[in-house]
Amino acid sequence: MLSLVIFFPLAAGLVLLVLPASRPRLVRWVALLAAVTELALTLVLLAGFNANGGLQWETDVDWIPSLGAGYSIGVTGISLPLIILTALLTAVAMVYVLPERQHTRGHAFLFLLMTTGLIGVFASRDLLLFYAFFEVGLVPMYFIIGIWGHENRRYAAIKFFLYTRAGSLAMLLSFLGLYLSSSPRTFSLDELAAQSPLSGTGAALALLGLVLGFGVKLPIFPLHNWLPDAHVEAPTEGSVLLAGAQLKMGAYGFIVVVPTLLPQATREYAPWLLAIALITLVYGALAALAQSDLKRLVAYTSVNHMGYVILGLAVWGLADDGDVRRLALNGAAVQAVSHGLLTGGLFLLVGMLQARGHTREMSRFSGLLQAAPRYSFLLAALAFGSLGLPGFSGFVAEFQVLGATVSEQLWAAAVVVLGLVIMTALFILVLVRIVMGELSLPEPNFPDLDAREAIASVPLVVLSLAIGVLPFLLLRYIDPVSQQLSTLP
Amino acid sequence: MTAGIQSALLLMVPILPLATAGGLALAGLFARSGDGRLRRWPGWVALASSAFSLGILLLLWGREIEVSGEWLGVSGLAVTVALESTELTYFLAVLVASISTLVILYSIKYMETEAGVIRFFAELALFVGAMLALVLAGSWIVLFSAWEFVGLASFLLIGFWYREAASRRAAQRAFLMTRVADMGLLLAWLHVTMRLHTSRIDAFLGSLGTPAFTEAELLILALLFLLAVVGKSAQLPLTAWLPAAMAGPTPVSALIHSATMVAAGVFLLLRLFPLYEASPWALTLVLWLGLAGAVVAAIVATGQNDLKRLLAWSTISQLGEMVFAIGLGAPLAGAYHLATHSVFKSTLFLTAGAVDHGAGTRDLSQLGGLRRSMPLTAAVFGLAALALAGVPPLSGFWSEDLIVAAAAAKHPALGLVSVGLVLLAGLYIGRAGVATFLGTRRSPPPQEGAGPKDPGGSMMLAMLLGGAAAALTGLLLHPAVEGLLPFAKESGAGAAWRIAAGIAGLVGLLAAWLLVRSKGTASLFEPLPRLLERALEAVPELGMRTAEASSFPLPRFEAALDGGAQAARGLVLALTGGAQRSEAFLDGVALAGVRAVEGVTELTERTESRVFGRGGDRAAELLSLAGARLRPAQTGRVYLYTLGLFLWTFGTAVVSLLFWR
Repeated sequence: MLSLVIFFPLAAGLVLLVLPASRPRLVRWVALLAAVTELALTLVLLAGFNANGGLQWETDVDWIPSLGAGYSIGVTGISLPLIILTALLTAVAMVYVLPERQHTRGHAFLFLLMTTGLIGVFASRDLLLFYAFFEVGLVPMYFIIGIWGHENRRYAAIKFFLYTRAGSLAMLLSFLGLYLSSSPRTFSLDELAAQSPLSGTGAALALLGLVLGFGVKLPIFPLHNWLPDAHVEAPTEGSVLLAGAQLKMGAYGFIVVVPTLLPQATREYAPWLLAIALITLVYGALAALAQSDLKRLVAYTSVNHMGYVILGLAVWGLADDGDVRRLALNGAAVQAVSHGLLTGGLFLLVGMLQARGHTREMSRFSGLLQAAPRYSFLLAALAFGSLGLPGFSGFVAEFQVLGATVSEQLWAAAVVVLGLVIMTALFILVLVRIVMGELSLPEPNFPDLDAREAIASVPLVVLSLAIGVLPFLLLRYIDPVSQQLSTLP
Repeated sequence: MTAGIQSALLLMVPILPLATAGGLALAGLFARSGDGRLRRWPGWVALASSAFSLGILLLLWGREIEVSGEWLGVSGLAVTVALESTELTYFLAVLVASISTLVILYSIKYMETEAGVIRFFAELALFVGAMLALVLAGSWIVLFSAWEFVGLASFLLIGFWYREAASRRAAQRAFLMTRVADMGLLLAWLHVTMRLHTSRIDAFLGSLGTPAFTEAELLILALLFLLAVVGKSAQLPLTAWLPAAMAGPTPVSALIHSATMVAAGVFLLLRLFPLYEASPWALTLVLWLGLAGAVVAAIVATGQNDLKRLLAWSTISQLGEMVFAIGLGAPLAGAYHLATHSVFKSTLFLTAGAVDHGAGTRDLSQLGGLRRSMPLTAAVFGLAALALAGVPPLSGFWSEDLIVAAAAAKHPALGLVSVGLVLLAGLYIGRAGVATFLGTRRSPPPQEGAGPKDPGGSMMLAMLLGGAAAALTGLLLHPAVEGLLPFAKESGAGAAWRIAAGIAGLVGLLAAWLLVRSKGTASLFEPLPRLLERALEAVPELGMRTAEASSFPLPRFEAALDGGAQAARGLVLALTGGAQRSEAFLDGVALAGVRAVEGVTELTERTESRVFGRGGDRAAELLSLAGARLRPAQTGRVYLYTLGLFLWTFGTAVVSLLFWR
């Protein structure tokens, strides 16, 4: 079943490729059908999942026996929400691009291929397989930016390619290091965790490789520089998946892979991780404040938001109290899901703005509340959700990470809330500038949200609210995994 | 009444207005604008929800009720959602619900000509629900969420006239300044919750006698909570947002920015009074902070010409007095003053709105003589102003009396200062009242229209109710209020202080009357009020500037990082270019080799044919054959050539994909 979930998008993508290119409408609808089916399949996984049952939906067969690499997959309470999120965002993207008519087959194929890669990453229990899916998840985005992107797409695509390839190379080296020092040699995540083959300098180097690898994807300061360009140049649906699902590969790495493989090294270097997290949090917020391009602004807020993930890992490493460590990972995992919903939604809305006004400059828009009240309402909801208003998923994530941080280092928490205040300032600034004010738009014709756009964006807001009001819906899956990870030495 | 019904009823108190807000918001999104029938019903719906909440509260009079449920029970941490109706929280909930109902009643008439009434009442109902949740909160998570939501509602309502630059700026400033302060509350409650593994507020208050927290921790906690208090209640140095917030509609100023939300800070101090008792340093800071705020804001108020801004500064001063009272260790005085102030100050705002609508301006230098055309408004304003000036037996007198008594008991000098504050209050409110209602109109009223007149309908009704309450709450509720509140009753003031406090306000009023008669609306203490006001305005400016200044160099840094990426990209391109060029070079070499061999073969063949004649010569044939055999080998080693071909194809594919549109 899990294999079906992983490879169904790929199969559907291949089917799409044989559809006639002359019928783009058909291609779009089939792609949407495939994405919705995939979402339904992931919900089947959810329905058959026992929150307290550990690893489920497992498959474990030999893949390259001579290397000790297996086709070993399974779902945990942390990977399941991310799998569903990925499928949901793919469906959202397919709804959003329905009217697009450019190279539809290739476009849909690449998105579905990426979905296979992303879901594969979250399901892998074998490092070599993880790496393979990691690459499958990354490479399509390079073409999506390079082919369907905006003005400066070539540069952004190459930059994206270089950064992420360098990152995944560092990750692969760490995996190889772990593999070579294990005995019997294995790529299995669980066996490596049980063996914990590296210590001392070796473990430190492996940790460095993983931090570089996942840090590029998360991203952390100073490895974030590819992200604004990639987001700004990517087409809207590309940004949604890039922020919503791709960054989560980095988050998943930090929340699950790093603590599982290198618990001791993580503890040893936790102060460094804390420093990185704090800089990332404040830097991302400040850099976002300095932007006038709305898409770039949202991209930088991602840097701040994902900073909570590495902060969670750092506190997990610092704390001795199991409850505090658990809370930190819980918050980080909720943040991964929440950011996918909120920032995915923000990118959609900015994309709609760009589609109508043909510019992303904040100063060109003003008084949207008069022209498009429903759009404004949604934008305000997402903005307040992103600045951590209680009632949205972001608050649930942030207060948990922050709570864990407070009980370890009060001053560090003070730095985090500095970032939160700056985030408040910039989202309020966006609302005050573009939603409020006298009506002034780059294009006279500025329709309010249409049905397609509403279907794409409203579910994201509703889900974020649902998690914000009833966090147990999500945490009942995440918490058992965090608890188990928090018993590691 | 069973416990279950009581709990359900208590839950309804905040949920009713919140649900109303949600319903109105949805209706507003899909209603066609400009529909005449939609003018009034949103107001009545909001009024009904608020009145129902008030009714339920009155039904629950005298009962201690607690509702709690687990919201998040992970990580050995019980985050509960809890409401509790105990003495203090019940008292404040009734106050909030009453004033909300009064102000919504007033708004129905006041807002009837505005566009966007549905949005207005949706936001107002959101505020009422959140504020009720705030005062009834029994757990930190509810308190903090409600705290943030009243801030949100305040932002939305200040920015109600979103097209106007002043409203936008004011809304932004209010939200940011209070949000900065809210971070103190966030850090503090998280710390407490993590330590005690429960988010119940009473669990924290109960732990104060135990060694759960060290003294230093208590001090830090007290200071963090105090930061939130300073922000919400617009105390020094975070005052600047409140006068700016007057850009919002007047009912909003009356409800949120004088009576309820700004009092939330004082409420938090009252709720956490045991913490401050346990941390004497913090309590002393509270005292001086409150006193300084009260004095500075009162001085600034004497120089204001905008009636609403004057009232806003007065609010800051009065809130300062409450904080001061709590700092003195007299929470009863603070709580009592919170209640009386809410009533008379919101009434003052309601009359200010009537003046604004009736006379078309609220600038003191253009008003005057309105007592003839707006007699009822003048009467209500007069009552509320006398209450503010602490004139017996109106409401303000009773609470000011307690504050003066507590101050005098601490130190006679503090007693004198607090009497001085009453005098200043009489002075600024007297100046406002005399300039507005007495004498003659200083600027000609606008030509069109029938000239200023008392408002009618729900506005007048609300004002009359407010005026009556401003006059009577003190007298009627004095014993009830004291019995209701959990704090020990302080001894009344000595007779001398009591007389001084009662007279000071009258003296201030009299002085104001004389001054306005002789000097008009010129400010009394210039340039002090202006300087103080400007200094306090600079606080948010400084904050924004700092944030901007620190974000300013970041794009340059980003550009430097970008440069690194550019260089890496250049390197890759140069490498691939170099490979291509070397391939071309190798190709050239190979080609030259082929040519050379061919040349040699040809030469040989020609020589052969010349020497041995055409054809039939085996030697020439052999040589020619060897040359042909050699050709592929000579074109560079075959494998290298293959590899080059492969690399080139791959490179071309990558590059063409990249540049393929």
